[in-house]
This record gives sequence, C-alpha cells and structure tokens, in this order.
Amino acid sequence: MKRTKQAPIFPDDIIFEILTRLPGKSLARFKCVCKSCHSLINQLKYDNDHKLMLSSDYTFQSADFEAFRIKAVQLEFPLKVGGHVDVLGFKVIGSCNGLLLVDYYKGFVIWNPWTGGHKRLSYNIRAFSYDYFGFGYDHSTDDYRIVRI
Amino acid sequence: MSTPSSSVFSYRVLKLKSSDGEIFEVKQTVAVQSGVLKQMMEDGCTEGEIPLNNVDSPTLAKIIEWCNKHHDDDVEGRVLSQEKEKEKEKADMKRWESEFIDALNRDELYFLLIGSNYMNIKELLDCAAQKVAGMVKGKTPEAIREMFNIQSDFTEEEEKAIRKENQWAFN
Repeated sequence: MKRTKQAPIFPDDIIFEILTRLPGKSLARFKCVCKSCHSLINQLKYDNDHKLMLSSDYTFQSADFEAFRIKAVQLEFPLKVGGHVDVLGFKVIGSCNGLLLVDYYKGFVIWNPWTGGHKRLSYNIRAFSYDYFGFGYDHSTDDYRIVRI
Repeated sequence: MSTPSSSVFSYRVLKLKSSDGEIFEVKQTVAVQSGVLKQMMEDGCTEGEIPLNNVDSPTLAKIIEWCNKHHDDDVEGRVLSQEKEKEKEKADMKRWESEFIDALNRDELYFLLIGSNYMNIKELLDCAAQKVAGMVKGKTPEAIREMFNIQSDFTEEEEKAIRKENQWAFN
C-alpha cells in the first residue's frame, strides 16, 4: 500500500463499515455519490442491535447506545408539506424489522428511518377512528402486510 | 497466578513485516487482538516473518500502539478491581481512544482503517470507522466524492432523479 496525494480508494467492505454508522440524512446524501454506494445503501437493513426506535405522536427518535451516554436522536421524516414536516399529521401504526408504518394524512407510508427510504401506499381503506391496524411480515408471501380489524 | 506455560506463551513474539519491509516484534498476547493473527496462531503458522502487504510501517506502528494499550498483561494475576475502579478505567480508555484517533491526520486515519480491517482488529476498526463517519455528516455528495476519491458514474439525468428522490436530505 503506497501513500499518494489522493485519498486511498476504500474497498466496499470498509465503505459498508462507514455507512452502518451514518444517520439517515447522511445516507440519503451518500446515495447520490455513485451507483455502487446507492446499491450498498439500499441493501442496508436497520440494525436493531444498536438502535431503538422511539416515537410519540409528534416526534420520531432513535436511541444511540454507542454514544458515551445513551442519547435520543431526532429522526427526520422524509415527507414534508410546504417545506415543513407536518407534525400533527402523522402517527405510527406499527413497526416490523425496523420498518415503520406511519399513518400520514395523505395515506399510509412505510418508512425505513435508517436509510430514509419510504414508500407511499395508495390505500382506499379510509382509516376510521374505530379501526385498528397492525403491521407485520408474512413469511408465506415474503412480503409485509397491513391488517385492519 | 500465572502458570509456567502461560508465561512462556506471553513472551513468545511474532515478527510482523510491513509492506515497506520493516519488521515489528509483537508479543502473542498482544497480537491476538487481530483476528487474522489469532487464526494464524491457532493454525500454528506464525514461524518466521509474517508479511502484512496492506499495512505500511507508520500504520503498523500505530496499530501496535493501540493493541499494546488494549491488552491486559496479567489478567489472571490481577485482583479484580472494584466496580468504581472499573468504571474509571473504562472512561480513561475511552478518553485515550478518542485522543489517539483525533491526533491522526486524514491519511493516517484512512490507512489505519484499511489496516485494522485487513488485520481484523474489531475495536480499532470500530473507532476509526466511527471517526470517518463523523467526518461524512453534513457533507454534500460532491464533498463525499472528494473525501473518498470516488468518481460519479451517474448520467446527468440519473443523478437528477436520485437527488430528487432524496431531496429531504438536502433541506
């Protein structure tokens, strides 16, 4: 390994080590760097060993256990209305494998808070206040399911 | 108390050869922190010089400094310290680690990251990767490319689309 003026090129496994330590916002920016970074980040799964999701009606947070003292980290919900997060408009329905199902006033959103990836669901089941929803993984179809009771 | 066999073991040294040909002698009990060297010891193939083609001498010196600091010379012979002392030791070590990492310039840090990954020294890799991750935070994709010497292989249209998809991270 020779030292040159330019930074050494890291192999993918080192880039991966760095990516697993980044918050969602930095990961989303990192996705725009190059194709292999983009695909590496899309492969990341939420690391449940180190982070715990917390939410209230108005905030999404994760706990950072790697910090010297455990601290809560504010997560940025990717969907904004007029440049602002509509803090009153969402509610966490459930979580599974690190994915959150969020009831957004325009519909349901499945959100991976770690990578910032999200998917809106077009649903025509209007959430009535007396309906209860659950979110889980179905092994038989290898897909996620939303259950309404 | 150490048994005679374990004390013989602790004084056996490995000869590590850096990519630029320098030889470093390291006690086996220290070298065991490297997953790769540990495996070699278990397989009994540590005779002679062990070439580390991915680690140059300044980096290897740093890696050995780290491992020396993190190795407990005589674990069995030591009286178990009180909880409070343990806490203090842990805090002291954390402080030492961050000072060690913060004192490196960018290239030293990068080579240390590559070396610790190559030699599979988990704690050092953790620390170095955490430091580099901290440097990435808040940077634009252009700055990240420069930081890691990565060329973009997106077409103009692809990059535009991907930025749009991740627009929330730029606000």
